[in-house]
Amino acid sequence: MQLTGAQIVCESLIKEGVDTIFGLPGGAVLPFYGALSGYPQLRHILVRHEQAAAMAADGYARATGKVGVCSATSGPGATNLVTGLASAQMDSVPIVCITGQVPRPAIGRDAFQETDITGITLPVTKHNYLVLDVRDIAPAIKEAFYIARTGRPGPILIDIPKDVLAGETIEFEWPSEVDLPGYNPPGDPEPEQVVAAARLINQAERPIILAGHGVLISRAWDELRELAEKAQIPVITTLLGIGSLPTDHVLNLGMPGMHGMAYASLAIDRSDLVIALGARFDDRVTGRIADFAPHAKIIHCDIDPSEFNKNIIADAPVLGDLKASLRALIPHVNSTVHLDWMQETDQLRSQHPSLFIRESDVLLPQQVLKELSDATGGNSIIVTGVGQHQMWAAQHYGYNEPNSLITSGGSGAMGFEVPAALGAKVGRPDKTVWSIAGDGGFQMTLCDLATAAENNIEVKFAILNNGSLGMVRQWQDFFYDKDFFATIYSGNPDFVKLAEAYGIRGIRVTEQREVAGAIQEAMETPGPVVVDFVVKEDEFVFPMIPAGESVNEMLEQPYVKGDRPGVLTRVASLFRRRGFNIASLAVGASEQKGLSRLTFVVTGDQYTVEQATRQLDKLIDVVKVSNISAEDVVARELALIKVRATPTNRSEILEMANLFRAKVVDVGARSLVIETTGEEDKIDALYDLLRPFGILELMRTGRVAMVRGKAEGRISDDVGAKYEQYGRNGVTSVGSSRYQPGHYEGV
Amino acid sequence: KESRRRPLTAHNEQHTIIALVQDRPGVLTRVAGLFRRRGFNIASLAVGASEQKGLSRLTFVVTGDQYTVEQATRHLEKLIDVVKVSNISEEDVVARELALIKVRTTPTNRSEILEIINLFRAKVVDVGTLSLVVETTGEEEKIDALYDLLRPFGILELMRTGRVAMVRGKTGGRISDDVGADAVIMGRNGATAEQAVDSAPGHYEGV
Repeated sequence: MQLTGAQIVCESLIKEGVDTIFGLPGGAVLPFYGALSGYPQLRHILVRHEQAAAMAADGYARATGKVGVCSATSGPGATNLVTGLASAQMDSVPIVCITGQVPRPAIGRDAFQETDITGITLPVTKHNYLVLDVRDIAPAIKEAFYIARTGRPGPILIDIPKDVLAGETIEFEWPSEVDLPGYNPPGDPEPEQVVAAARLINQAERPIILAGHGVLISRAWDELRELAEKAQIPVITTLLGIGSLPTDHVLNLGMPGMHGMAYASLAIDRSDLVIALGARFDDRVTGRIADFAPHAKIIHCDIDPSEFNKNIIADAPVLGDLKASLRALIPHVNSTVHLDWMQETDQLRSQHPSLFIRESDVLLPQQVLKELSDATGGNSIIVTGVGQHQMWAAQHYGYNEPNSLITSGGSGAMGFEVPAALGAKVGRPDKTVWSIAGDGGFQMTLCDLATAAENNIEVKFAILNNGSLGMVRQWQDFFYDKDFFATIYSGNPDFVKLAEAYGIRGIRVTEQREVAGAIQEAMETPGPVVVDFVVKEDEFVFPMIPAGESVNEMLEQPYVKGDRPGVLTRVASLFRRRGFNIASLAVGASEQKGLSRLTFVVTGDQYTVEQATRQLDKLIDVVKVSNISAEDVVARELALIKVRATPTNRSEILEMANLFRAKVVDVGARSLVIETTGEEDKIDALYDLLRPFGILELMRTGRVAMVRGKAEGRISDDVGAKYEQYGRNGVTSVGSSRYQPGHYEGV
Repeated sequence: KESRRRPLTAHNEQHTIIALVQDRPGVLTRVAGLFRRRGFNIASLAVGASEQKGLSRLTFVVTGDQYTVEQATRHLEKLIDVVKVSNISEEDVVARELALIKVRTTPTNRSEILEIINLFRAKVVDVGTLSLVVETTGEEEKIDALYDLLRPFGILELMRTGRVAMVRGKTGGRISDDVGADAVIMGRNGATAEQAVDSAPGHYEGV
């Protein structure tokens, strides 16, 4: 039977197992749409912007594992696809885009709606075609799907002129094979590479697995788990690797990198072997390359050899399809445990509670994600946009299954959240799909709420609405002197009314206690729903490793520029938590660089003091604790006392001060400030004598005390009561004096 | 410390890469676009038919360090239309270039120019009242030398093809596409996978 080019396109798509196309018609592609309407087995979903078509195909592909398909017309229709294509290229997602082109005689003559889309998309597609003969259509489509889905997947664009779609008719012949002498995707790895990698794993004492998108693309999550469990290796996942191991698996150590959990980045920093599986060492993960994994060798398993040595030099590259590589590798890896390393990573986790959500009167965005995770049991598909909300979604949702987080990682294309969620739901109608948006990105693609309403695509849209371009605002706050130029969104619409304008249910949440109910209501309402969560405006994503820096410069919550969370906070909270009564506290520099001395006076019995000492000792930042109550010490305190003074009584006050050999450091018409140093009793005495005149202000430093040097030049840290005997790891006080303060590297 | 992660070789070394590509429209654009996008510096490029129907050979001279060459080779290989890529910089090759040089002549200096041309066994392919065109083939250094000697007379035009190179056949009739470093197996510092295990991290020897 003689078919037109357009009909051949349809037949070819059916041969490739396509059942869904996202698209928007136009002049040049109209013949294709004419044919398409006669093929009910190809469901066409009409979008409202071609960018949504490309991103919906992307979301569909990631959710189903099939090749996503989209179509657009020539010129501006095709160029609107570019952002979606670039995002799919960066994240290695298989999609095929069919675009119409002006008729062949018009090409190159600036025709109406002509653009060189194949030229434009050369850098953002895995491959592309301009089909100039109707006989080339079927082979091009067969090749396109083959290339899209094999090896390292990627987007393919097929540009077909209108007169090829609607011109000559021919007999449809589906090619039996593809002829691509220049394309040989790797399969099984070389045995010598596998053996070398296995040897490194068996020798390692602090190994860590970095699982990337490749684990999901290759469907190798069972093999990953087997490897991790066999050799008891902790697993960290990149943003796109999330879901390759369930979040609550005991070996899952979270996500590293710029906004990853502190313990994950620190674990890489301390590891001696990084096993990268289908990850490409993106700069968001590595930070400054010179300081990335400074003590580790690198195994790099990937299907794309151009990734080896691109960012990080691999000690043992393993080229192959990841599933095959792992299947080959696992038998050579010894079944083992690394108890010390496991303890170390556990300790990192407890010392750096990166996922701690503090109490707040204002609704916090992190809290929304957490409650969503609880309400859905971690079983939904979460599709995000780009920005702060994306990072919080990666951090606070507990992903249980592979392919449950769909996000534009490498490209970071805002507006991804709406269309990709539509694509995911169309591909997986059995799953609950939540689209997590920021108010910035949502406004880029919200026109496709119409698509959701028209086709009743049941996506639940959550907007984390902080009235600003959040992530950019955070950078301005940290690095651009808080100059919030062009990041405040004061013209936002009422998102609930907007949803209702599209015929979609809208819910607004402004308080913490409304969150759970709103989520429940959204899930129980049939059809698409928009929930507008009005959240705290100036919340920051922590942890953060600033661009170009390393884990040593990581900022953790609470934010103190350049410092780690204060020792003082830790100590004070410890005391408060344990109910120890601090009578006074003095803090200051010590003679050793980088170390401070704290002097406490604690009120209580022997038990209290012993407990206080031991608990203090446990804090990592605390190098040494000494109880010098019973020692021969010099104890002093400094006080500033502002006394009310009139011309009549001034001389009397001065006499008092002189008696105590105190100094007058300020004279005013109505007051005097006296500075005095000495033992507490002396200061108390002077204070009592001055009190009748009227004390306007008092500042006291609290006691500082130092043991007397005597004959040997004793140091306060080295003496102290018998509790010191039970110092770190049961070492005696004699032994502990050999510890070099500052050389602590963690217990 | 940066050296831990990137090999330290000369940044202006020249490497010869041969690519066997399918004769499809746009292949040259794809290759040129790739090089531009990834920041690789092409010193010269020669393109022509190969002995296989439907396939052409491209000969590049790329300037850069080992890292650059490795990346260029691997990214080239990824292009669908590129069938095979070989880095023949280290091989025993025959390298040649063709140049046409138009020199300004006067009746008085013509014989002097011809003498130089004969010395280089180059050919005169055009004679005019005011100019001569010299054709010369040889290694680049030879062409550079001839050019420098002719320069004082005044060069009106110069055309060079860029280097083409082919591995010497030796006993086995070796083909350029089949030799050349196998970038794929290379681990740290170009060591084989076996050797990689024994090297300490951060212990860099430079390639």
